[in-house]
Amino acid sequence: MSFSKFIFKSSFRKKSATLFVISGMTISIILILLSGLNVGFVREKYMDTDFMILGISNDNVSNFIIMDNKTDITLTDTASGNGNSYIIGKKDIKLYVNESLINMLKSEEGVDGVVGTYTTSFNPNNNFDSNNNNILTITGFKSSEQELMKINIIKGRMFDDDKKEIVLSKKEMKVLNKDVGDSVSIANEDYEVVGITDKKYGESYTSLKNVLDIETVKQENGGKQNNRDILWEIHIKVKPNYNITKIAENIEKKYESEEKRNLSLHVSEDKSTISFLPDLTYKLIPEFIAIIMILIFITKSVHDKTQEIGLLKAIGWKSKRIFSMILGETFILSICSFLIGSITCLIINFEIQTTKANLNLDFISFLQTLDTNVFTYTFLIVIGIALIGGLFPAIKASRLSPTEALKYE
Amino acid sequence: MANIVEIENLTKYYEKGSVKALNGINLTIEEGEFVAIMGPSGSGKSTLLNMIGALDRGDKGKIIVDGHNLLSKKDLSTFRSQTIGFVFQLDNLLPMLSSIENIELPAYESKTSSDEMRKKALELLKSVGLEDKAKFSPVKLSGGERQRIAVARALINSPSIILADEPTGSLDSDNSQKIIQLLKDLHEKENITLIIVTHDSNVANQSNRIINILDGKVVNDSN
Repeated sequence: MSFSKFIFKSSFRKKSATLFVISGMTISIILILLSGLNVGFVREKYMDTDFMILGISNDNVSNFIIMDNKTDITLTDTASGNGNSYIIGKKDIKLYVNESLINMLKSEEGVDGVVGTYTTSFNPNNNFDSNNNNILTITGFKSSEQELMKINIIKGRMFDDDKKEIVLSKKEMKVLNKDVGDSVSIANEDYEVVGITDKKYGESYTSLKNVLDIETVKQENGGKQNNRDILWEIHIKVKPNYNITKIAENIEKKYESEEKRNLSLHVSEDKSTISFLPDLTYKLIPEFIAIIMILIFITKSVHDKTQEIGLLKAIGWKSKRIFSMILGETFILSICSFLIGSITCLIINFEIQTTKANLNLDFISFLQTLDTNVFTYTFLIVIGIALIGGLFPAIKASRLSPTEALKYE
Repeated sequence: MANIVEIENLTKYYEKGSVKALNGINLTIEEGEFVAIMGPSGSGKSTLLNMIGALDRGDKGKIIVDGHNLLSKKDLSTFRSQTIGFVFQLDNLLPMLSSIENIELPAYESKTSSDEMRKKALELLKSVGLEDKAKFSPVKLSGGERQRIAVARALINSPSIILADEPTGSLDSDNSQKIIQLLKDLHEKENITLIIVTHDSNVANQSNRIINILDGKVVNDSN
């Protein structure tokens, strides 16, 4: 019998014990997958912080939208600010921003990229029925800025500027019962749906779920807003190794004096620093619990093999071979648990998502969209934790003399 | 005949020195001998056997087995694998493996191919009279059959010495005699040194030499 076959057989040596370990690990894996392994959340939001947004409103824009907490800097009317942004600076300022500011900001030191957006709302086909009072919010920008805006297209492609093309979110596509290639009528104009967006796994940022080229959005909104050159938001990407807060403060000082107006800044980097730990802790509680469970189950599984390890040492097995056996067994148990956990999770998730869509149970927001990245990260973490969990009791057992280990019960 | 085991003033403490399991043992065993070690419980006979088999280390003295100085040797696993064959009181077979797979276990460290391993295991299975039970799980075998498998397992790497710690302790008299006869046959055919720890005088009387141990000392040696 080959050694690998021995490891495989040894992994299932006691049916009840194996079932116990696999069940425990499976529950842990389901917990990780369902509650959301927020690796994406950490990466997108806190590791890529060289991205900031400036938003300036004018008096005519009452429903000013402040981008969510992914924003590095938001320069805005504080009266319309919401709880998602951390505010430093002055208050009660009414400003507008025109497109010329984009070019000025591009020349600022430390600024890597600038993109302006314009957001408006439509009632498509006059029958859009979401929880948003029949309103479809669409953000316009230049399609070349897709990367800077972090638009995640899961099907199809980005729209071409100057064409009657639109990209809608997965949720709206479902509500409108449309797919890529279909057309949607907005303000008496037909637009071809060329792509579907969805938030990335673990990402709470959904403001730019429906996107169109900026000129079209402005034209469609032109009748309502006289100021055709205003932008709702300006997103700024900061060069690596530059201090976002410092750049924001410089911009604040400069444009306050140049525009002779007061500005207030919303700096997400500061917000990140303030809320990172509690936010991260809250998001990762299920993962911590699951990891501890995996460690306990694997440690117990290896601990139960102490007598067997004693026998193998007594008959001349080297510690290296014993380690290989334990790590191999741990790997096999982890793979089995992962497969069972993943399949169970997909079924549970499908059921929950179906129920959620039918009943509009948006409060179950902690349930994340499962994608290959989630499974990959979960797999790597489970294997890594399981191997670590197996290694320590194996080292301990291998240090016992064979006679001590043989007496172990 | 050359000495295969040479022990001088071997001492072993337990419980941080408060218990002296071996109290200056002096002993030599020649190659090809069949030795029975007797003594009451706690006398140190199993400890002595474990020292000879390098399952445990002595604290003082000298112990040389088949030319290996066991107190100074760092890696004892190769020695255990190549020189010693162990038969325990409880068979210690792994239940998830078949009889033949249990016999093959010690051979993983001997660099033999899977085919050679299987061939030798089948020969040993035949020699212990269980060739028809090759694929049986140990849980489906009787106590005597399991102990015969354990004897075959001890022989897979062709060791110089077989160490048996109460090999008949959990068997009835009929099965006990069968196991002792099997060990005796192997000892005679292969000229393997056989050292048995036993309480049973019937078993001990079949050996060439009886060593009595008391309080960690050799008190009588029939040699």
